[in-house]
Amino acid sequence: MSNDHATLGAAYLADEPRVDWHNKAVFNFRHLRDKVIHANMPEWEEMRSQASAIKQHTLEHLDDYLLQFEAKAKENGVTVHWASTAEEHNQIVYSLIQKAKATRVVKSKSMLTEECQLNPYLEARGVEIIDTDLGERIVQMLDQPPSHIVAPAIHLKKEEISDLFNKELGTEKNNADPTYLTRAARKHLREKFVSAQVGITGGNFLVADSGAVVVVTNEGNADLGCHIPPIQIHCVGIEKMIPRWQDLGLFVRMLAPSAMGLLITVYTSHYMKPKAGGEMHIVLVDNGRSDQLGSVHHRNSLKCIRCSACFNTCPVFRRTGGFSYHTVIGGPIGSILMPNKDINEYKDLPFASSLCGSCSDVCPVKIDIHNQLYKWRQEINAKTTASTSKKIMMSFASKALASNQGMSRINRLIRPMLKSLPRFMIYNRLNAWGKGREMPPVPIETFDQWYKNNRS
Amino acid sequence: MSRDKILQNIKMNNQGFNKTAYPVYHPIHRVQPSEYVETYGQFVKANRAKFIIVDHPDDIPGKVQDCFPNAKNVYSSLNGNLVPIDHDKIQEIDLAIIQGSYGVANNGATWVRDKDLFDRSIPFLCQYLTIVISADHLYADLYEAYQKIDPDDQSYGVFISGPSKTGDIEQALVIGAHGPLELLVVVVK
Amino acid sequence: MRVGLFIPCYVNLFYPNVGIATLELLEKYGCQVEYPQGQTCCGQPIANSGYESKAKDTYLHFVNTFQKYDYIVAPSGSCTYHVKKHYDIIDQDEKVKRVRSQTYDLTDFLLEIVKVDIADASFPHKVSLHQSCHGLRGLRTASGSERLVTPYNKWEELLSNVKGLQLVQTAIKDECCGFGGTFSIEEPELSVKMGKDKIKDSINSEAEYITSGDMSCLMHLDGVIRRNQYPIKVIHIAEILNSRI
Repeated sequence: MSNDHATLGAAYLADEPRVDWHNKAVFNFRHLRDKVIHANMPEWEEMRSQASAIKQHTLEHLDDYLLQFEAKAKENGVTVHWASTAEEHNQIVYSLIQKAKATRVVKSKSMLTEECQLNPYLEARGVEIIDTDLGERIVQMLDQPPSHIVAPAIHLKKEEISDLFNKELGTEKNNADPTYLTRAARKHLREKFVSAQVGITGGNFLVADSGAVVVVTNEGNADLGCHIPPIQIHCVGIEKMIPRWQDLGLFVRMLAPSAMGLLITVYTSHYMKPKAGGEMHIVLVDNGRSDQLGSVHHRNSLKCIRCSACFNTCPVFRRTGGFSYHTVIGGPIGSILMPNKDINEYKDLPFASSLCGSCSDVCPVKIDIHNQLYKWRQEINAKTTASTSKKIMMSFASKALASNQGMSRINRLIRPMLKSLPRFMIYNRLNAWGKGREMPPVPIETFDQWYKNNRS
Repeated sequence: MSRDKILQNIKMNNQGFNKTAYPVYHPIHRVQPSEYVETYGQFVKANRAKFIIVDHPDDIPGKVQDCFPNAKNVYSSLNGNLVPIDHDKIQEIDLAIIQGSYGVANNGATWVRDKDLFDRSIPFLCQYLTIVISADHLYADLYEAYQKIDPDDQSYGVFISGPSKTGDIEQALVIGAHGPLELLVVVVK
Repeated sequence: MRVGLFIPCYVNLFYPNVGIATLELLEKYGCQVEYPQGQTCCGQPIANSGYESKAKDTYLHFVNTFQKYDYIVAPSGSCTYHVKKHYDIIDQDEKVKRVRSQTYDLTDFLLEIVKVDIADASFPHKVSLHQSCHGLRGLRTASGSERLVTPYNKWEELLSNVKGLQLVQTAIKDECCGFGGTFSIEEPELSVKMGKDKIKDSINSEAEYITSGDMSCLMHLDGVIRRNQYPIKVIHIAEILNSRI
C-alpha cells in the first residue's frame, strides 16, 4: 500500500516543526480535559462505568429502543426515515431537498454525513450545501475532509486560514487575527443561514423515551440552521441512542469535558417537535453498524459518543495528523471502526499504534480500544493477504522460540552480524530500526552465557 | 424495507449476547441549595458571560440597559408575554431579553424552552442576549435539571451556557461565533 | 520461596547487566532464584504483529519452562503483561492459570511479595522515570494521568528510597516512548520521533538518566540518544535498585 498510515505518517513527519505544533495543539485538549475533570468531577470513574453500562444495555436492546424512539418521534409530529447504507441516506436527504425545491442547504458539524459523503452527492445534483461550523467551513473551502472529528481545521495555521479567507471572503491580506477572521466568517455564514431552505445537523444523542435529538455546539450554528430554514433534517447513526431523558444528565455532563475540556458546550439543543409551520425529519442510519454488533470483540466500539478524547491523547494521531488515517474517522476509534467497513482498505490502521493504551483510559464510555486494535491485528492477518515475508518470519520465530535451543540459535545468528559487519552493511535501507536509531550494543556475553559461567 | 432490515439485523446480531438490565445510578449532588445562586453565578462568569442579581423584576430593564448601553433595537419577551416579531426583523435585534426556565448551579447553563420564545431563532440571531431566571428555578446539576424538565412539555429546548464561541482557528478562543456576541444572565431573587 | 527468573530475549542478548542486577537484587532479598535454561521469549513480538495463533507453542514453552516455581519474575512490565493478559488463547489448565497468576514484574514483586524497602541502594543522580505503557496501563504499576483514581506510583515508591537519587518530573508525565515492539520498525519515523520527544522532555527536566521498568523502551530510547548524541543515559530500574557507591 502506498497510501498506508506508515507512508502518510512518515510524509507528515518530514516537517518536524509542524508536527511539534500539531502535537501541542491537540494535546492541549487532553490537558484541558484533565483540568476540568479533576476540578469538577471527582466521581469521574464511576460516571465512566455508568455510561459504559448504559451504552452496553442500549446496544443489547437497540431494536427495542429504536422502535420506541420512532413511535415517540412520530407522535411528536416528526418524520422518521431509515437508511441501511450511506447511499440510501444520501438519497433520502436529497429527496427531501428536491421535494422542498430547495437549492441552498446549511449543515452543522456531522461526522455521519462525512462518513456518507453527503456533500459531494448533493453537489453533483446541483444543491449548494454549506458547512456552517467554522472549522468545517474552512476545510470545505479548501476541499479537504476534516482532520479531527471535533476540531476539523486543527491541522491548519491561522496564516493559512487568513490566506484562504482573503481569497474566498475578501478579508485583509495577512490579517491572521482569529477574532477578525471569525467575524468575517460570521458575516459570511449569517447570509447563508437566512437564505437557506433546508438545515441539516448530525446528532450527539437520540433519546428513546422522548424522541429527542440532542445536538451540542459552541458556535450556535446547529440552531441557526434548524430554526431559520423551514425544513430541518437530523442525520444520526443508530448507535447514538440512549434510553432515557434522565440519561442526558450523565452523558451531556461527560461529552464536553472529554471533547475539549469544557464543562459544558455553549449550546446543548434538544429537538423534539417541528417548529410552528416547519418540518422536522430524522434519518436513522445503519451503514454497517448493525453488522458490527455481531462481532464479539468489536461490538462495544459502538458505544462511542464521538468525543475525540482518544484522538487527543493518542501519541500517534498527534504526530502524524488526521489525514494519515486516510479515512473520515481516524484516530484510535477510527482504527477499530474502519476495518469493519473494509478490512482490506483499512488493514494498516490497527497497526498504526504502539498499543500504549492511553485511548482506553480516557474513553468516557470505557471502550477497550487498545485491546480491539490487538484483536484486529489477529483478524487482519487471518482474513487478508498480509505480507508473506512477515508471515514466514513469524513462523520461523515461533518455531525457534518454542524450543530450548531457541535463544542460543538466535544469538549465534545475530551476534556475529552486529559485531563484525561494517557500519554501512548494518545501517542500510532494509534496516528500519537503524533509520533513526543505533542498534543496541553487543555485550561480551549474553546473560545466558554469564549465568553458565558464574552460577551453574 | 430498510427499517425492517436494520431491526432484523440488530436482533440477529444481538443473539447470543447477554441482556443486561438498565443500570440504576445515583448521582452525587455536590452543590447545596443554599449555594445555588452563588455557584451558578461563578460558573456563568467562568463561561465568559455577565451575571447580575436583581431583587425585583422591575429592576431588570434598567440593569440590563446598563450592561448594554449601545443596544438600540431591544426586544423583550418575559413571563410568557411572547411579543410578536416579523421573521425578517429578528436579525436586526441588537439585544434580546428572554426567559430562562431552569438554571444549573454546577455549570452555569440555563434552559430556554420553545414556549418562552416567539421564534426559536431569537436567542441565536440577536447580537446580544439576556436570559432572566428566577432564583428558585436553580438546580444542583444536570441530573436534577433533567429530572425537572418534562420533555413532553416542550417541543424544543436548549441549555445555553455562554455567548457563542469558537476555537476553530488555532484553538484561539473567540467569543462571538455565529450566535450572540455577549450573554448576560440575570437572576431574580 | 522459589523464584524462576525470566530474562526477556532482548535483555538476554543485549543487556546482561540488567539480568545480573535483577538476579542479585532478588537474592539479596532472600529469594531462592533459579534461571531455568532453555527459556526463550514471552511471544509478544509474534502476537502483537497479529500472529498470536502462531505464538501458542511459544506460550506453552514458557509455561512448561516456569511451571515448577512459586513465582516467575521478569525485569519487564511488558513481558509480564503479555503473559497475564494474552495467554488466554491457550487451554487454561491449572498449570497455565498458575503460571499466569504467579508471573510478576520485578517492581511489583519487590513491593507486593517481598515487601522490601530499598534502603541500601545509592544512586546520586537526577533521574526521570519513564512509565512504560504496559507496566502503567497494563499492570497498573502506577495510577496514570488519564484516570481519576487516588494517585500512586510503585516505581517512584521504590526509587524514593534510593540514597542520593533525585527524581525529576517531565512536562508530560506518562507519554509512550514510541517503541511498541514491531511498531518501532513498521513506523520507524514516527517511533523515532516519539522517542526524541520523550528524551527531550527528560533533558529539559535536567535528568541525567532515564529509568524504566522496561528495557525494551530504554533500548529504543538509547538507540535514539546515541544516534543524536543527546546528553542523557538510560538505566533499568533494577540497575539503580542494585547500585551502591
